[in-house]
Amino acid sequence: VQTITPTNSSTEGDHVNRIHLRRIAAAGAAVGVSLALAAPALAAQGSHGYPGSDLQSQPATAEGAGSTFAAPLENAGINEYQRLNPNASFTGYLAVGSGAGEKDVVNGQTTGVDWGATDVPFGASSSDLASACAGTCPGGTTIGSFTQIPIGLGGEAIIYNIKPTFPKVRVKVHGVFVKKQVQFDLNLTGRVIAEIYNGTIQKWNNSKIKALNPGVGLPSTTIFPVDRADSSGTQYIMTNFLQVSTGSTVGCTSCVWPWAPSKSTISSYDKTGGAGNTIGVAGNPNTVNSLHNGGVAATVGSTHGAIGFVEDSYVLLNPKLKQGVANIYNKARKYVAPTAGAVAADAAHFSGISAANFSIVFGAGSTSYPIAGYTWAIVWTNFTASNADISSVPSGVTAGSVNQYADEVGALTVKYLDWLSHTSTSTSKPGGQNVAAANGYVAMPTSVQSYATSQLAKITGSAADGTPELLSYNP
Amino acid sequence: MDPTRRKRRLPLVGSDGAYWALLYGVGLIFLGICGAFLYSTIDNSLSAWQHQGFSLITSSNWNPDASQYGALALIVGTLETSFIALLFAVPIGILCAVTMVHLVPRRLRTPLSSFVELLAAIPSVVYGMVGALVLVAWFQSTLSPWLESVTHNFVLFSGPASGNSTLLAGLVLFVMILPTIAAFSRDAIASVPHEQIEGALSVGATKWQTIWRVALPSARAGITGAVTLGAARAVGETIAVAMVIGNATSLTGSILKTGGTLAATIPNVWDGASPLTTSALFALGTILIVFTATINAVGRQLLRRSQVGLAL
Repeated sequence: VQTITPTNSSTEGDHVNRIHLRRIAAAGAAVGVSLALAAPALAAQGSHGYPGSDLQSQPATAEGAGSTFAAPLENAGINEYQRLNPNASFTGYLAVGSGAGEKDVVNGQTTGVDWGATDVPFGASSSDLASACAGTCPGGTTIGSFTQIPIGLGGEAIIYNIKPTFPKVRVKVHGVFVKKQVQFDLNLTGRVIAEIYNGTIQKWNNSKIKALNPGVGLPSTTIFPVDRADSSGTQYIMTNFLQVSTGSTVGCTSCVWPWAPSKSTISSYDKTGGAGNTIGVAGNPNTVNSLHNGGVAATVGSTHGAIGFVEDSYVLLNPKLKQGVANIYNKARKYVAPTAGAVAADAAHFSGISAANFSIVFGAGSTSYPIAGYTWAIVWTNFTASNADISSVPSGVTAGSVNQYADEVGALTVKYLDWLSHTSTSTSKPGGQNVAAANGYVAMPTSVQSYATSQLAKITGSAADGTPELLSYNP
Repeated sequence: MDPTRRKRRLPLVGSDGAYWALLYGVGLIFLGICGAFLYSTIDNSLSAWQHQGFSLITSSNWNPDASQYGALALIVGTLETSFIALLFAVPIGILCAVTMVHLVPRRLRTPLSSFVELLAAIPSVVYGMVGALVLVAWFQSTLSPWLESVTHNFVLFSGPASGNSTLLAGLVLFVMILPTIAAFSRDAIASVPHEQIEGALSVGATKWQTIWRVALPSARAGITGAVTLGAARAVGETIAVAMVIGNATSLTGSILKTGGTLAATIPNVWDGASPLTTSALFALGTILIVFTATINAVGRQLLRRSQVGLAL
């Protein structure tokens, strides 16, 4: 089967054609005939409104796992995609953490995971991959074995469980001076957050916190910094922000934040300071380590005096946390709340986003919220029976067509990720990024959506039945 | 020995032979599985032992990023939480068992027993959830400050406490293993022959004397088994502990502060672990196996001693 160059009329039609083509061609039918027959009927689907109709004959089932930063997005996305495409079948999304998601997708055949989600992509070189895999990558894999697609953009909220009393100040309203509360949340800087986590600041009424919040009544409660116990991309983004905003480097003895996030374990910076580091977060005996974004949210919610970091959507999901969401000091020296607009403003200051250049913390601009990140899907570039999950092969599929089934799984995965990473202008058929925006995330900039498209276009199916056909689209 | 009986057992022909082959086969499979399990656990842990040496159990520097695998804090945390759990669960569990067998009105016994068995069957994650979402706040606001003031902030009870703590993990484990100990002890106490109980009562012993001097000593073997089982469950509990202990990997000294256990650390660190770290996790598993083996050995020893005592 030859690879079909996609036309620009209907992306879905092209794909369906390709899948059908392979079968028809195998049966000896003419390629052109099938294209001509199938394309007009499906051209009306419109862009990014992919029905899973070609999967009717063999219901392929796809499964994702990984980042808890991305979990609310993936869960809402799968629901919406299935509403739009009732034939699309998913095992679901397992929110096991970024590190586990990477591990699960590289071992997709045994774990059954078709796409892994992580906030820290593998990067651009095979050595990046090796350090990300930490020795667990299957033999022979290179960075090209995997394709990395940005699927979401979100901010990280710094949440706290104390009730400061905010002052009323004299402000002029319609020419009259009135007493009014103007500050509703604590102001914090990267430096102060770093010092809270490393134990330099231990009480909420510390003078350094007071200095950022003049007139605010702060309790003498002990601060309990809540950290991640697992391998976390959310923590990587947080550490990355602390490192960039405090200007610290690895191994320095006097800097505020001595650890650069490490890709090898997606950062477990808190576990103890290495040699030469005078500040050890493990030296802060009040640190509580919780599992996953959800665990951090729960611990902060139930622990008086706690401070923690979670993806914004977890604040939406847990109304109890809304009472304490800090404004963070950005590069333009302004305190900004983690709103969708502020995260978008931060992201807009970074261009050339790719798997090798993904950090978007501490962007310029007075309205930018500085703790933000993209979340990524990682899939095998070639969906074949030797790497994709074929554990869910339906009983009707014979051994000979297992590779074909891998193609089907790959096609469903690619179609879902393509839908997920794009905005739709159709109100009746929202795109994944529309769903994201409704769930506490921010729609990715169009340049990043285009990058996602170009990444998806690299993914191919199995070559076992001929040429490995493209599973993606080139709209 | 009766010669006719011997005769009947000896010739292994026909279905008899198949029967024995089956039994031996199953036995060998069991041994094989256990052996393979032990072998793979220990074998996988070897590179961590080679790398870290004896300091794996004497150092409290646990930092997988820097390839430091001192698990002392985790060993101490495991012992602390299990000790706290047993401290409360053993006396209360045995008293519950006695109450169920001898003191509760007959028609309440069955529903009460079913209830205790129900509690014993609740998945541990549910206990963890109650601990993490309900008890933590009460611990932080009420129990911990009270303990701090009562003990004048003695090092074992020093604050400040976030609620997530070794003590809370110990108490969650206590609630978790209490039904286990109560249910098995009840079975043991209930199976003491009636003649012994009635005999004691008939020679004028009070009910309390009967329970204390006759029922409990006779049931000692079963009760020891119940406690051994409870202890093993406490030592090996993973998720309920991970949810409430705060997952610290260094020694904090105070049971009101965060801690960590061997079992709870494994799933926390497992994701994305390097081969050496994975090996260190197997080493933690090996230490856990040694712990449970020790518990069993101690249980057996107690049992043997008590049997000797009874014989005398």
